[in-house]
Amino acid sequence: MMMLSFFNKIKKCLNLSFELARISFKIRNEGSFLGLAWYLLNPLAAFGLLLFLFFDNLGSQIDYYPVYLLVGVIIFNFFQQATTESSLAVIDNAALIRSVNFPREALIISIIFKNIFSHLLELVILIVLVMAMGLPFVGIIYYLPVLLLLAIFTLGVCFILSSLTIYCLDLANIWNFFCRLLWLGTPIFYTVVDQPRLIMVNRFNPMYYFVSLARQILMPLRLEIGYGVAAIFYSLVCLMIGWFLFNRLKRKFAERI
Amino acid sequence: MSDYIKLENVSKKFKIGHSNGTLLFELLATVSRQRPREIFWALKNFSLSAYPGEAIGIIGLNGAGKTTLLKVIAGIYEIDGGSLLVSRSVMPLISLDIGLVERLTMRDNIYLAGSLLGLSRNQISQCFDQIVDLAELGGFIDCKLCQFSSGMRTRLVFSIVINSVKISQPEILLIDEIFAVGDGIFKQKSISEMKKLKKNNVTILFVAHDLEFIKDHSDRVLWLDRGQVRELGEPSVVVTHYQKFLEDNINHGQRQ
Repeated sequence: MMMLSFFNKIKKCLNLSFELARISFKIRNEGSFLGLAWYLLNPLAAFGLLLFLFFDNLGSQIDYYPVYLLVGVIIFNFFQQATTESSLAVIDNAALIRSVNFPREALIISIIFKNIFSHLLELVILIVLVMAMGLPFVGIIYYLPVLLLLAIFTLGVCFILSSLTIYCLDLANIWNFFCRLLWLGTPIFYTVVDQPRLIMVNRFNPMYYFVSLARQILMPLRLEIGYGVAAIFYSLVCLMIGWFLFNRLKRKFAERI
Repeated sequence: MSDYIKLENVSKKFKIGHSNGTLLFELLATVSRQRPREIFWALKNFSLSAYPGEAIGIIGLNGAGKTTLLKVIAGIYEIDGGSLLVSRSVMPLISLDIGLVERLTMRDNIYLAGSLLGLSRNQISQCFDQIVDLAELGGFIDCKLCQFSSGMRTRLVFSIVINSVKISQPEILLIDEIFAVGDGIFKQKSISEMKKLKKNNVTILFVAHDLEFIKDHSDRVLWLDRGQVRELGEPSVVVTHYQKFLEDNINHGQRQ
């Protein structure tokens, strides 16, 4: 009975999250000429520019450089979009939180849903690129578990950010800045192979594992189990911390904002 | 029959923030104890029981704790003391902010607000027509909300909440000052909807400043004063006392 009501709650929360994601998708497309295309424009522009800049130099050292680059760009884009959006998610919905007692988690989960959807659009371009470069198509299927882990990890970060921003608004700005640093620090357009110092630092960078895993799966590289274990570890630990924090702080949301 | 709501010695405090600007300065002021945080008790040792199918009207001056009480029962605020027992599901209608979005059509808004109130997509589709009918907004289904007047909005919100109540069948309905904006016809409609709910054993707690309305439609009236029960009982008696209190205050020209 307890178990049943627990699952019922989760199901309700996911339903609501899905509905919120659908609505915010609609809001974004409402009255916009390009609509859905905007979701692709940002990562594609970054990808195109980086490809143009580094293809001759860095690209010549890395096999299948376009795929290598696009994987890095879209994975990081997913993380960055979702986390920056969630940092203000609770504050932006202050009036709603003060008057309806809906499951607060749905606000955050809906952001993940929405970004997974736009990530799937980006994935279409990745698939085209993978086929154009003559890489095996089957890698895309194995990519989905990596995406799941990434989504779990990102959800954890989103929970942490959204609940802490209530107490310290600066966090939203700090996070923007931090994301830019992390973008440079993660091997997205360069490689850390043969650079022990960079590899050392990146051991503590969860994004490094997600990006590397995806590349190992999609490109003819050796799949390292250690990376998978690290990705699972980071995503589960992050979700647990985030969930705990969010649950502790959510009762105070209504009076803090 | 057991109580649907039971509050015993419930307290709710708010720290009154005297802003010092940035968080850093506020932190420094707190640490150096230059400015002790003031505490405002919105509810203090408050007790109340409500029975199935009972309508309790809540009156009191601004700042007496009426809305805080509703939010505590709705589970939006956490209590700071005492015990709160809400044995059944609650549907709050505390403000018009139930998540409506200006740039979306009424259709989308109904689905959005409905899901926030805990309905599934199917359930909303089931009662969609009733929502539109009760709100008397038949011709505006695909209009954007930014073109709606405040009266239309109020009717829409009320209609969504009432129909959600019918579907999800909570046992407690909380209403805060929603009747203030609607016209006579709307008021009449809302009253008959409330009566129907009461017959189905829904407990209704409502805040209103219209004393005649309170007197006519509640089984008991609760007079809240500075977070405490000033009087609770027979509507006509409590309202008469409250009216006398108001007159006295107006004559003295100040708030007590």
